[in-house]
Amino acid sequence: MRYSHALRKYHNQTHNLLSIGVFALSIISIFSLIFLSRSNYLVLTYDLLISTWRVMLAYLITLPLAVFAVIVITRRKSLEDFFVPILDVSQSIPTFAFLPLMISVYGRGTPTIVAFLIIEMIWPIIFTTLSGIKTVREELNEAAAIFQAKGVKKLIYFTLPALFPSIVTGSIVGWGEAWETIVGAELIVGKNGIGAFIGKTYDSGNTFVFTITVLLLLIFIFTLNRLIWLPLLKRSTQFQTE
Amino acid sequence: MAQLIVKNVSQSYESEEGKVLALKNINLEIKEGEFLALIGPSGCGKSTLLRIIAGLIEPTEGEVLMNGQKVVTTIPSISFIFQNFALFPWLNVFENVAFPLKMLGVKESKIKSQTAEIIKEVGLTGFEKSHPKQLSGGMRQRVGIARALVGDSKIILADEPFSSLDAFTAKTLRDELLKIFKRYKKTIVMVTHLVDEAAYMADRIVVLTPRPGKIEKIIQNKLSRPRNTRDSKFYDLTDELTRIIHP
Repeated sequence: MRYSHALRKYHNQTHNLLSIGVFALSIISIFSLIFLSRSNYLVLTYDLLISTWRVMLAYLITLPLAVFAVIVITRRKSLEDFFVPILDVSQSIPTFAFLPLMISVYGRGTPTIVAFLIIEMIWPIIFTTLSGIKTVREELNEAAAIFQAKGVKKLIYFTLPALFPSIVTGSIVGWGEAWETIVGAELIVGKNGIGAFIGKTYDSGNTFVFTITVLLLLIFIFTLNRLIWLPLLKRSTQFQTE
Repeated sequence: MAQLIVKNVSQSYESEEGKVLALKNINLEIKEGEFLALIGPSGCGKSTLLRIIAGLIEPTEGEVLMNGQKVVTTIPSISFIFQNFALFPWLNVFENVAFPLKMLGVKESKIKSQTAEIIKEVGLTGFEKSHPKQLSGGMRQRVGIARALVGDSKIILADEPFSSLDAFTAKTLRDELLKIFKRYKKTIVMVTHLVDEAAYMADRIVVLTPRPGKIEKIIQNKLSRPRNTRDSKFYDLTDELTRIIHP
């Protein structure tokens, strides 16, 4: 038992180290290539960090907003019957249609892109959390009520842990969509960020740097998934009700 | 004086076929320190009645009184043992058992001592850090029993607490629940569909009719404890119960 645990730990650690190693090597080699092609790799790093910061900021706003909305909506059947069809229709409205409106309100900067990302990210988190709240076994809800779980304590010790697996799943989808969206949004809004960088390199006709940048972005997203979301997804199985 | 009174309770619900009457005019008095079994055919509403007593379901008609006070929601003095354990998978054994105390805002030091004592009582010492998924069915129900015991509850409601367990584990846990019943002097109301279980454990057995559930008969179990399931009087009682219950 103890040895199999140690072996598992070793495998996990090796796997993680390998991921980091591959990631680091890729970054170094790509940056070197870019450097050799005289592109400003500092600008690329800055743009990538700006985009990551925007996705993170949007996520930090979206997550509590989506989870809170679901908890409130599902408190009463009448609220749920009223809001769920509205949310269902709203999610199918094409998000990019709002971009000109947002630019006119917030200007061509981070607030526009973050607001835009929130609209994109919120749907998967809302709908997976909504489905998660439905699949919590009725007996668990009854146990929480019997043993006097109420208010903030209920939220901390019952609701959020019960929803953890669906929140993680929704977050993974949300992050994926956010990366897809941010490239498009920054291409259009166009001041800085990885999308803007890709746009500029494409416009300049430097296909080599353009390809390398897209590859770098893919590796970056893959590594974030490998190091953050997959371990969280694995951990969330412990929270799943049978 | 009765500790718990179920007064003219009826329960109906809407279905596609229209209004369905699940329980009809239930009147019952439960005395302090009594072990009462609710038995009846499948679908007779015995689990619904238990949930009405717990304050989980509001009855369509009638009321439940606990020491003269109307039960309108769940209260700390009534706890519950669930058929499928209903343990929180994200909490370990200690945290699951301590859950009611934590929710009631009991001091951390008191939570530790009370929880440790109950865990010892149900024979789970050494498993405090284990999560429900790592435990057998019998051990999970021990956690369920410990959680129902730990607070200041006066009444324990049990919804077919042994039906998810194998026969041997169920037998062991029945005896342990009886020991706890004797030691802690709690009132227990248990739903079961097994006549042997009702005859072995309860002081009184309430037999419900098929839907809509009404009280068919209340039988006083006069067999002395500990009960011998091979005794002819025990067979007489189970035969009588089997005759009364209409499938």
